[in-house]
Amino acid sequence: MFSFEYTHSSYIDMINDLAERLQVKLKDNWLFFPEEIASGYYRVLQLSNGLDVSIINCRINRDWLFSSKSDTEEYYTLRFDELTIEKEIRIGIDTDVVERGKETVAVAYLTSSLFDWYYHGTKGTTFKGVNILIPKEWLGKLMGVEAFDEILPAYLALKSRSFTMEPLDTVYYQLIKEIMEEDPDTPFPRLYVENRVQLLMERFFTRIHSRVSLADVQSNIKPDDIYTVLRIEKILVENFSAKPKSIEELSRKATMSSTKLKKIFKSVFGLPIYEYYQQKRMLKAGELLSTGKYSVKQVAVTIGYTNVSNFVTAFKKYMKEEPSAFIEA
Amino acid sequence: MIVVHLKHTNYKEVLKSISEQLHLQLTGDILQLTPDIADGYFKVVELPNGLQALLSDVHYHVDVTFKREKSDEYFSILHFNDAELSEPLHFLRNGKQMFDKSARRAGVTLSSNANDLSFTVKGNTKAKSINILLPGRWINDNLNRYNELQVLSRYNAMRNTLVHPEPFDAQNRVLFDEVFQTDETNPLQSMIVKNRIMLLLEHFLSKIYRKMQEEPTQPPRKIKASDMGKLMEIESLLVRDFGQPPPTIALLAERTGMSVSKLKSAFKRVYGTGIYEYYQKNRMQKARSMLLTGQYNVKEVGTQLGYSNLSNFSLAFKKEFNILPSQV
Repeated sequence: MFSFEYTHSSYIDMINDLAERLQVKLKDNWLFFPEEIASGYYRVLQLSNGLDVSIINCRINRDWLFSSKSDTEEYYTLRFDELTIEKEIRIGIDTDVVERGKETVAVAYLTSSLFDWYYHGTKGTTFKGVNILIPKEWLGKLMGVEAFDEILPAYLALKSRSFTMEPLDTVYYQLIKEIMEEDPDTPFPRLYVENRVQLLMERFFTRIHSRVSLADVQSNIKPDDIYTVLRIEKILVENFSAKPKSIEELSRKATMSSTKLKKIFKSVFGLPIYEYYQQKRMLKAGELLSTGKYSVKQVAVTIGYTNVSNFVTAFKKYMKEEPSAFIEA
Repeated sequence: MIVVHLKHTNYKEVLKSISEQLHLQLTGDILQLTPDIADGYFKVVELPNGLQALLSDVHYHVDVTFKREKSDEYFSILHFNDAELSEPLHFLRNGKQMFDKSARRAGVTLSSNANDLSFTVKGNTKAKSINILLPGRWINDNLNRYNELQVLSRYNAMRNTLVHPEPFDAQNRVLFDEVFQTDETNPLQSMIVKNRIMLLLEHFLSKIYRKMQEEPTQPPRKIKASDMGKLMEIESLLVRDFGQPPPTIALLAERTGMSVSKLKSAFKRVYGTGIYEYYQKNRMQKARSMLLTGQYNVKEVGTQLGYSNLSNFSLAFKKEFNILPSQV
């Protein structure tokens, strides 16, 4: 087990400590891991607006534990992590622990230095990540997002619960890929990387903002209730092949009355629970069809239809087109 | 006729100086103009690493001459303009007169403070501009392994972008419009505006750099200045409103007084794609950026961009970006 602990609020300090510990030389803040630890690199760059960014792209050749101790100085870390796990990984944020088995985890999330945090990864895990260190005052002052002052504490209080971990989608992947695979012919490499990092941040905060505040401003729903329905939404759409959960079951999970859950769900997502479920289900179907890899029948089964013609009717209702039309995409 | 003197070393000072010369009140980094001169504003945006941009969205009511004096510290200035010119734009560089006679100026100009420069904007001109001040120091700090600074000055020497701006392409156009159209109530507005300006900068610098690498000694393309102006006008017409079907090529040809085949080939030479392809590319870029704001759902975006059939929209989007709009 290779373990490394840090408390720094500067990635430059951290990479220097890590280099010393591994007895390797840094070059322009690039660190190439010794083969017995990992294959790949870790690098740090300072954006011209003063933010520290670290980029890791490696395969772990030995179990490791990276941990950061909570610090009295408060700053945020915005993490974009893509892990392909051979055995298992454990991410601990304060007292919460996320454990993942053999799979790919690709998430964006924000943590605060006020919490202890660790990654416990096992041999064989592939780790790609872009992490941005953001001082507390930064968001408000430089970005002009005072509106986040109220949202962030509530957000951070959730720590590792599902809401805070935003799954990476194709737009995030593309940006991360461009940061990792910097085009050697780019005439202005700094500008290129910086712009992509800025776009990652812009997208993350845009998404958080539209998920939390839009609903919040329009109604007088308490933030706690919003978080609860966001959690319920995840449960609702996580698996279309099984029967949808009953409202009773969901309201039990939400520890809310079913009337209250229905009402808040509708004001946050704009649709009643089952209509929302159905819409997401059809979008999923459209997504699967357009890959061209599955037949209409296979897709119908995947999203829980035993009767294909029922599926076709439902699909047409939402997408205004035969499912087969999507396959030709 | 109003004359404004500019000393380009710092846009904050420039803005302050304009406000004093015009006897107007400055509100923070924004200078709101008054109807006796023009409708609109000038605004300074601070970018990372000490870069600055000066934005303006102005409908001029009277003639205004801007006079820029040369200064010792080296600066390049990148101007992104989209202007409907009521009369030719008049330049005076180191005593030499030049005119841009096009009705529509939609492109990028590179200038440097190594020259005295003045230009006159005629009354009834509508102009949006983003000007980025690039200190030589910044360009040097951002160098890769080649000498980009030299490339820039060589480009500047070869091309008279004052009279013949580098036309917008689909990517410029979307970024440019987003700078002016991002909703003020969006708490991320200032971040979005900064990011778009930095992307415009990256995109332009990379593009001309590549161009100079590929064809270092290529003479300016053989398209008449007057035709170039017409092409820019066509370009602006094409991207103005995606809710409407695009104008027919025959109609565009009539408008420019060019034959259909000449228009098609000239457009392709300048913009790199066919006319409708350009329209469609922009439309999809616009769709993507609307979806990315998180403020519109797929249906709203499709409808606003003139799609009555949502799955046609999804397919077109997928064709351009390889993902469905619902996946953005």
